Amino acid sequence: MNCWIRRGGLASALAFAVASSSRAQADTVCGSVAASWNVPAGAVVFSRTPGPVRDVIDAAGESRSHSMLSHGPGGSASHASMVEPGRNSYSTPFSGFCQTPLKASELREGYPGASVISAGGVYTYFYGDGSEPEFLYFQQGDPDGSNPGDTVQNYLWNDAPALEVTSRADRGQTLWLFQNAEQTSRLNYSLYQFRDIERTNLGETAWNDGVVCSTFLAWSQARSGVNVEEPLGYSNEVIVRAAQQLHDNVQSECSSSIGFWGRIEASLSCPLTDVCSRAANQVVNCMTTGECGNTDDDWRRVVADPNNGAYSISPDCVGGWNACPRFPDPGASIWSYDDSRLVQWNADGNQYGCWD
Amino acid sequence: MLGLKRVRPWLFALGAATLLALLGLWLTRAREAGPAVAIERAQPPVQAAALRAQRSAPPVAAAAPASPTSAPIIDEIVVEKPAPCVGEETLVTVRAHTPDANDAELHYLIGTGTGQSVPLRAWLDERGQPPEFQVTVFGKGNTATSAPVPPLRVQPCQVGMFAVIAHRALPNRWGSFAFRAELRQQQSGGPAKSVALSARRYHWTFGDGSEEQTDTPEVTHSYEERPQQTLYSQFLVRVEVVTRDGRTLVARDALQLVNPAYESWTRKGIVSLMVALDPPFPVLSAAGRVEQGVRLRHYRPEPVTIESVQAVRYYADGAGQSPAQSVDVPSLLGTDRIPAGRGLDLHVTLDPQAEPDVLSVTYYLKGKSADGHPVVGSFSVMRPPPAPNADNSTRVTNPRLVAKIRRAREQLGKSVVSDADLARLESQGAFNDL
Repeated sequence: MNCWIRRGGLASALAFAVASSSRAQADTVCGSVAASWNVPAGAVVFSRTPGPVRDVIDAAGESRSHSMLSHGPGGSASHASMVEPGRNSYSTPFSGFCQTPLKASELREGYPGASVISAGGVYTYFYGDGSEPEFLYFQQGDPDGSNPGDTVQNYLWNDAPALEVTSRADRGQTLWLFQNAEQTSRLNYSLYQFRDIERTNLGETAWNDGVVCSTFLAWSQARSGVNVEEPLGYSNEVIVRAAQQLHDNVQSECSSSIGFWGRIEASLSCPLTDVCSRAANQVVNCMTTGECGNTDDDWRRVVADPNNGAYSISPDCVGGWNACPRFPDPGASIWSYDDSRLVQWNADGNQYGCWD
Repeated sequence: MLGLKRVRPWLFALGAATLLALLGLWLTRAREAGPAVAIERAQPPVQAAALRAQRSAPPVAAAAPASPTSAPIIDEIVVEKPAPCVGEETLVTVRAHTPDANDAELHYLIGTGTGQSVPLRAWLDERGQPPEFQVTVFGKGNTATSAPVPPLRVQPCQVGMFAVIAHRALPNRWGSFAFRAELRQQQSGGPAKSVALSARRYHWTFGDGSEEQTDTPEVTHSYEERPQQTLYSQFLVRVEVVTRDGRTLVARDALQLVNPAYESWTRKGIVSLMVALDPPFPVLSAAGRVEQGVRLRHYRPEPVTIESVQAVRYYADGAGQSPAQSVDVPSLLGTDRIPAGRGLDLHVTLDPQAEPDVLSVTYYLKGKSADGHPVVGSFSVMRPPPAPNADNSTRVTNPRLVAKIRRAREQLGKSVVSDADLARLESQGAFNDL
């Protein structure tokens, strides 16, 4: 249940000046042609990417950490994801960043949430800086000849309410952000969806208008009228493991400057607090209770209650793997019948050239 | 001044202690009150969740737990270095079995990593305590057994400079990886920092009996010949980095790779056709056509029969697709049977000049195994993207990316560079000054 963060690359535009000041280079323009994939419209792409939320998946014994809906070869894709939350300002060793490292609002309302990414953005998402996929497969969405997968992607492309915004990473690009049915908010990426899907699979709006990649696909099936996918219950034993795994991984990556959380830059002078530990607590509290500004280890109390479990839909379940139902079983997704098929690209990435 | 000189030392100690106590009290209050910077605390959903719980089943696993006898049994947990320095790598290995001969389904979670042998690093938390790592072994149906890793007695020594390995799957290949060695320097009182230090050589072993030596920090390796007899295969990758100043740093990386053919067979009863492409990316021949080599293989002991092939043309710029068209199986494959073992090699062609609107053609294969199970597979022949020019490209506006592109073109002597070129140069430090 990752659907996680895009690091570096598109998400963090670094406004460094171009090194050369030569007049000829100043007049040179560079452009790109996107690499295209072979994934048909309405098929879902599954991947497994290292990172903290992959460990939540691993704690459940599952495998896939992200799922994304294709709008066709050479086209775009729709998914739910989140860029790294910002850091609070450093003010003193006793406040601000040192006390609460991560911006709670950005952790809680993950940006961009459910959105459309361009063909060029898709390749960068999987193979750009910091992305380290272990596999990439697709599964078709036509279990019965009526091609409901195409209906879902058509709904998202043509009918689902969406807001056009300027890309934060590239001002020359626009981004489409999906909205809730009332069009009062974008669909945020919400860690709490891992804990409780809150009827998102019925096409309803969850607390905080939250989705993650797999629950967004469940939402899309319901909103387009093709199917209702049912969540799976996870025992208290699983959320205990998941919470601990998530905490330890955030702390470890932050401390060793490796992986997504390695960019927290905990090297700022906070001699009296453990920034990495606090950041880890924020992330786990965000997932277990939605309290994304809480830097205490209150999550331990939550997971220690044997009555607390989780109720959600994971990418493995969208794909019909492990204990998840498979079409035509009740509650299965429309992609769950299919096998894993190799995602192919027509080039080793986007192609770049420059000209005067 | 004169007054201070007369104060007795014990008064200084009392004063200092009082001051520290007051400071501690102030800090505690500051923490409870929240940071000085305004941080929103949203209304947590727990109350709403509790209300829903009154109307519906609580969010606990609905599935009945598996029989305790089918849960794996952990035989042994071995810790390489029980007393590592802060941040020092120590390998933790678990041995387990299932009581009902389902060892083929075993997979492992050790601390912050997956695999049967996982390198872990322990960092002390705010209270000066190391993490309490757990081992979890999953069996069939994801029944799980957990046990604590024997507590690490983390020493106050510093690991100093250390190496780590990152891995990623290569595009257009189902089981080949690129590995990259990176150096880090532990900082006193803070997290480790990346280090740009050139190394003389890298000696790699891949956990499958093969090894390689490189003078760059990246290497690729294929695991596509691995058997598909278990749900996961386990490999421990190791690199020895010999730096130019004579140090030798060792890093390891655990790979727990899902075996797709086993997964499909056991979960869905499907015989998967695994695809290998040669070349991995489409290339235009001198005649202006794409000649794509494809190998199809499966993991059943007997040949499988391909009963139908449907070809779908996908048009450029997301302009839709053609209806599926039946393809004569022997004309495409040269036969209607794919043998066991090495599988079948074939070639398909795409002529962009004859079909200028077609981006790719995908062939969808269906058949039956000797024991009547469905056989499923597909592969595509694609047209490579055109070289970017002023008319067909999207302008790059990110200044750093523009700088990288220009530098890559100069260094590689190519007018067109790709994301893969940029990533390779980045790992070699070619953009460190940008």
